[in-house]
This record gives sequence, structure tokens and C-alpha cells, in this order.
Amino acid sequence: MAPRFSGKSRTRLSGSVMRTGSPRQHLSASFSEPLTDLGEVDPRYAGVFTPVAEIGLERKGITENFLSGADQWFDRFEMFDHIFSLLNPIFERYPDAASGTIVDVGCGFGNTTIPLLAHYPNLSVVATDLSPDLLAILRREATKRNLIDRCLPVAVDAQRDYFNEKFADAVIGCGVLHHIAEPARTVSSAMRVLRPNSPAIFLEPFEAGHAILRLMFTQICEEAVRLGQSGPVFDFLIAVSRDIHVRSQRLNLPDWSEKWFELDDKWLFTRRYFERLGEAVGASNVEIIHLYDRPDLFVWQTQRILTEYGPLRLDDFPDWAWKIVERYDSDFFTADMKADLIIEGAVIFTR
Amino acid sequence: MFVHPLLDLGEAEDPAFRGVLSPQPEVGATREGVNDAFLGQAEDYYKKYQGFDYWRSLIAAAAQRVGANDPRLIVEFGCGFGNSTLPMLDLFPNASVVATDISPNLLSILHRLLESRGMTGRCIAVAMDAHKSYIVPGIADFVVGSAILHHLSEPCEFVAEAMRVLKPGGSAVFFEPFEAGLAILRLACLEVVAEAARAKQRGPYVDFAANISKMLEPQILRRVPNWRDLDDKWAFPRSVLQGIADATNTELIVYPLHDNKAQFRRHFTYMIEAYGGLKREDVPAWVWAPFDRFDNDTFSPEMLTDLPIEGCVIFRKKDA
Repeated sequence: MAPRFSGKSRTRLSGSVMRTGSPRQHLSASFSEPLTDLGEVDPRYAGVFTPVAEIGLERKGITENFLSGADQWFDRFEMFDHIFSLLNPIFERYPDAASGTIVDVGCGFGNTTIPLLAHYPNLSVVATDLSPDLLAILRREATKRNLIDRCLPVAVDAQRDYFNEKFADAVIGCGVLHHIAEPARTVSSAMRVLRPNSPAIFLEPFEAGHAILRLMFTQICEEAVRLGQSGPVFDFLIAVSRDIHVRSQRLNLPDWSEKWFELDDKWLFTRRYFERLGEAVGASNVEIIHLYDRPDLFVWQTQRILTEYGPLRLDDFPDWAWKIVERYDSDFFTADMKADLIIEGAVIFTR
Repeated sequence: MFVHPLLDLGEAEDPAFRGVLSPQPEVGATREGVNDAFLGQAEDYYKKYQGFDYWRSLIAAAAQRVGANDPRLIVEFGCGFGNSTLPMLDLFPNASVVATDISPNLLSILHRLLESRGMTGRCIAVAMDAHKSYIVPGIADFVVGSAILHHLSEPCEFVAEAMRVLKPGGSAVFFEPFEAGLAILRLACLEVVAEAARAKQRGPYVDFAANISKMLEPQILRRVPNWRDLDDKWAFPRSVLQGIADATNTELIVYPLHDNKAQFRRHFTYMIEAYGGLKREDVPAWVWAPFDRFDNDTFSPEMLTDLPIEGCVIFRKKDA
């Protein structure tokens, strides 16, 4: 969630279509199109599959981070344990899914797929992403852990329907919808592949908590001006605030209505948006759950933003600024309200 | 419809309560958790807070939302002098209403209004504690408790009772204050006070903003030792309502009561004029700034619908 305002890239898979043998037959049967091994096009992608119809199509809306920068992305953002700790309390509510077939949408290099496969020995995963580079890493990591027999990495645009209907016991997507210009198409596609009463679980950033973060950071930067203080920490807070502003107010910002499509992180979601979306795609239920239930929510998230998303240290942040942040944890909202001011949350659409 | 015989309080307690009924065990009971505004001062309360048209529009919208087009039996909790009761009798011509409240004083005003409209045949006014199971289970098509939940220290127990009274698939509808919008309103007021201190500004609007933030604090944060004695006990976070829905195995529907565009400026305007005796045109621009910021900049228009100051809360009982 670090601010990333630039970086537009489109890649094209090209080359001859080469059919290979049956990759993990029961998983490839999930597709309405035959799959081909991209290793036939480029040896780096061996073991990564794609629907034949996808060959040669433009891959829109993906930045270089996820293509040629994939290895650096993996080194920086591999967090199997952390993602599993967030997802599993929700996932384990669905025992059918834990021993069935699931689709991981926008799986990247496997932050969700790898720990789920490792934890649930009867689980099979169709792991899809737009980036063959990230999927090649997923394949490498799954092979290293003897998990590849239950995993099918498929390079595919989540917004196109290559799947058969009603075969999946769950669809999961970790931090994927907010990268997509039209999340409704992905959720609609998820509804189509799910068996009745099965869940599509997405972990996503929400506007409510981010709006409060922006409020805090803006207040801190205004106070810094009054105190005559400046420096990288305040510059960083301004950049984070601007990112939150653009992602929540793009419709009211004339400069951003077009440029917004080129952002990597596009959305901060609202409850209302997901409720409307659930209604539009015919979900029987929409449930929203916050992921971080902690009394020091805003202090903790500020620490993460400074040190994990930014190149800063905690003691770069002056004491008077921490006092402002602490007030948002203790003086303005109840703990119950902080559960509604979601920074990162799960939305579960039930078919 | 009641598990105990109903007695006329005009005979059993006080002639002033003629026509107000009560389950036998409630006769002569101390009315707990209700302050004198609703008892001895009931007539003043009635004169000040009549809002039949307002409540009519809220109930019509909520009923439409849950498809309660032609309920035959409505149970109302906390009906007071009938702000919602009379509009419901008009909106639903085939309905009978069991209108309950803890205050026989307010109910005797309702009984008077029913008599003057010739509607006593369709509505009974019953003095009872809403937490207690006096009504036969599974009889109501629709339950209404206009603004009762935020006065209760144990709203979950009460919602469970409302669900007991409802038929499967029926809905209980409430209109309540929300923490989300009120906490942001309080933040704006605190910002006015902070800016006044920085700029050495003074004035009645600064004092008023300070008073509003002070007044809202116990209702929002719920930390004061005498919290149970407060009249307005809750500004509900959605998560608390969801917890009640989970505990009572019901479906929760929440939506804002008002257009959320410019809601913080509008609500502050209402408060300074209704309670502060101030005029909006006298308020300087810098005082409006934080309200406008929250209305127009901090949150997206869609986010504001998740931050209601007041909202409709519906618990729908699952089908059998």
C-alpha cells in the first residue's frame, strides 16, 4: 500500500500454441478452454499454464512490479505466515472448501496458495494470476515444498470467464480486487464458478480506516508546519495521505478520473460498495469482517506504514505526533467502533 | 395476546390512567430506567416532540424495505404518546396495534388521541416493561420500536424479546443514533475548539461546539460510571448491532435515515439553532471548515452512507 503513482506496463504473451499433456487432470477440468504450458513459449514459464484463448492477448492493468520485477516483489512481500493468520480463521469456517477444490484469484507468487496447501493436505488449488512471472515463482515454491501435485498455476485474466460453472468449493483472493478497475467482473466470475452456498473470500483495504489514517496524518503534517518542522517522515505522510485521497475521492478529482486506471492500488472499498456489488452479482449474503481487532489499531497501523511500507524508523516519528495518533485510539472511538473503521478487512460473498 | 390478564390502570392505579391497560404483575410496579420527562412531565414532552409526519415517512420507508405491506398485527415497544402509532394506523388500514410503553402517563395521552380519532378499536395502549415476556410468542407480523434501543442498557435482551413476539420472516424496525456519524461530528466540534485556542478566538459558537462534544462523549464512549442512568445510553456502532443480530440469530439491515450529503454541516446547523439559540449566518467561516472538510473531503460520498448520524436498524427473524 505504499504510494505508487507511476508505472504503466502492458505485456503480451506470444508464440506458438503448444498443447502439453494433462496437467493435474482434475484441476485442468475446471476450465472450459484447453490449457497450454507457457514453458513452450518461454522456458522460464515451464509448468505455468494458460487457456489457449489467452495467448497473444494484452495484459492490461498490471505494472512492472509483477512482471520483470517479480523476484524482488517476492523477496520483499513473501509473508506466508502473516497471510495465513489472517485468512485461516475465516477459511476454516468452511470445511468443505478445506478438503475440496478452490480457486485463488490473483494468487501472485503464492502468499495464500502455499500456506493453505501446506496446512490442508486434502486441498487442491487452481492458482490464477495475470503475471506468468509471479506464477513461475509460485510453481518453484510449491515444488520445493512438494505441494505442486495439488496446485495448478494458470496465467489468466481474472476478468475473463475461462472456468466451468459451479465446480469450486471456495474462491479466495488476497488483496486482488483493489488492483482491478472493475472488481464487479471478478466477483461475478467468482459467483459463477462457486457451488451453491459456497463462499468467495476477498481480503481487501477499506476506506473507513484509511480515511481516519489520512485525517491523523494530515493533522500531524499541519502541526509540523505550525512547529516549523520538516523532513522525510512528513513528506512520506503527505504521500500516503495523497494516495488515500486519490483512491477514495477519484470521482471528485478531475485530474484523476483517467490517471486512476494506471494506479497499481486503485481502490479503498466501502461496506456500501460491497453490499451493492453483492446484490448486483446475486450473492445470497455479503459479510464483512475486520482483520485487526486491537485496541492500539491506529498506532500499530502507523508503525506498519512507517517501517514496512516506508523506509522509516519508529524514532523518526516525533513524540508529539505519536500523541496525536494515540488520541485516535483512545479518545474518539469505542473499541466496537474501531471494528467498523476497517483498515483491512475480509468480504465474503456467498453464492 | 397476553399471557396475563390485562387490567385498566384507571381502576387499578390512578383514574388519570383510564383506558391504559397493563398485565396484572406490572400493576403498581416501580417504573425503572425511565426519567421524569416521560412520567410527570409527559404533557410537556408531548407538546414539544410531536412529529407524526416525520415518523410516518421513516416507518413507510422501513416497511417498504422489508416488504411489510399489509401487516395485520403490529407490536410497538416504547410507543410514548404515539408518534409512530398513529401514522402506522393510517399507513396500514388492516392492522391492529399493540402499543406498549413503560410510562402510563405517555400512554394516557395516546389513549386520548386514539379516542378523539375513534381508533380505540384498532389499538390498545399497554403499560409494561419491554424486557419482560408478557406477549404471546410468534404473533406479530411487524415490530416497531421507533427510538427505543439507545435508551436500554441491555438492548440485546430486548431484541431477543422482540424476535420472540415476531412471526418467522417478520421484521423488527428501530431508528437509532449511530456512533460513526456522531463521533465524526464530535471530532469536528473538538477541531473548532482547538482552532479557537490556536487563533485565540472566542464566541458563543465556540462554547457551543465545546458543549456538544462534552454532551456527546458519555453516549459515544460509554465510559462514565453512571452510564446505566443516562437517558441516551448508546450511539450504536454497527458492530454492536451485528453482535446482537448474531446472538439472536437474525439478519441485520442498516441504512442511514437521511441524505448524507453535507450531513455534518446540516446537523451542526440544526443543533446551534434548536438548542443553542444561535443563527447560522452568525457562525464564522472558520467554524464551518472542519464540518465541510468531513462532508466533502475526508470521506467519499459512498463512505458517508456508512457513517450515519441516525440510521434505521432492522432485525429480520429467519424463516422457520
